[in-house]
Amino acid sequence: MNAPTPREQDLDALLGAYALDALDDDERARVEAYIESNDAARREVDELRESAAALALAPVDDLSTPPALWDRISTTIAPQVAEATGPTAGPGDELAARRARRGWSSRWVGLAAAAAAVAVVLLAVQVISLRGDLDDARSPDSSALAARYDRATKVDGARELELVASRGSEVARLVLLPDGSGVMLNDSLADLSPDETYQLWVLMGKAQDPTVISAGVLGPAPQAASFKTEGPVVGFAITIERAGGVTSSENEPLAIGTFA
Amino acid sequence: VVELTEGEAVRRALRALSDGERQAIELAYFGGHTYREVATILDQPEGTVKSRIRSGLLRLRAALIEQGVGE
Repeated sequence: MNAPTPREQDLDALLGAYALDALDDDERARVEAYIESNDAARREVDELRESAAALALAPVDDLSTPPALWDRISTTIAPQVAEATGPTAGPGDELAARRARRGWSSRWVGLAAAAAAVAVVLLAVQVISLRGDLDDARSPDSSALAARYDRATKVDGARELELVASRGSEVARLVLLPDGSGVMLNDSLADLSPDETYQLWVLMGKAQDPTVISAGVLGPAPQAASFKTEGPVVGFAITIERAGGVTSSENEPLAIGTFA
Repeated sequence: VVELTEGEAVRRALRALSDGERQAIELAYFGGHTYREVATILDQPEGTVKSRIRSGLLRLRAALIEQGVGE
């Protein structure tokens, strides 16, 4: 095998950022052309994407980036992105602009707004510590899963949400606990082929302009899922993606629900 | 399904990364930034950041496989 040329080394170094969709458009195009003609690079990208997909399963409360750094992001990056995206982008819009460039489109916003009428059931029956139960949400025993869901709904401050398809029928439901953890139950999501997966997304921030973050890959035949969120959750959505999931989706949400 | 066993495996795998790798990946993935933006945020050379993202993802994969996840 020939040693990689300097140009190939330069492109190889970008493969990780490519797998995370963290390249500018011109570099992404260069990398895509490169991996088309380089089997080894393509294999590496496949492997790196598997790692990227696994990140969707990382507990949100385990992130290491300190709050002070996030503050620096807003002060450092916002002016640059505002300049790049035009005069309508103001401070704080940097991530929305970034995600918009990655394919998050206004259709999500529109669907979220359309689903705003979805009923929210607030239950305040009794306080039950479900942390341990939620941490073990995946189980082949569907009745146990349903029982966990029911117990979660009884936690003080738990919020239930129906995820509704465009045709108006409810396809899944979830309960979100005050600590940001939650459980989702599949009611009528049909099994997919093995090369596809359902993926759950959490809508954060403002209902009219949500930031969309993966809450996890659900697999092709989900029964239930546990998840963890952090911050102001305004809703959830489900898409169908290729097996392994994606870091950002360009697909129409199959179902969506927002808290009133 | 988001199974916690996998979530815990990812948590452990992330902890196996260097601070620099983990921070670069988190800012790119969870923060939605390009690696150039991450370099600006961290005040590090772009080459360092893109190398850390790549090496971090490869190490993450290796750590997951070692735990029996991802093969």
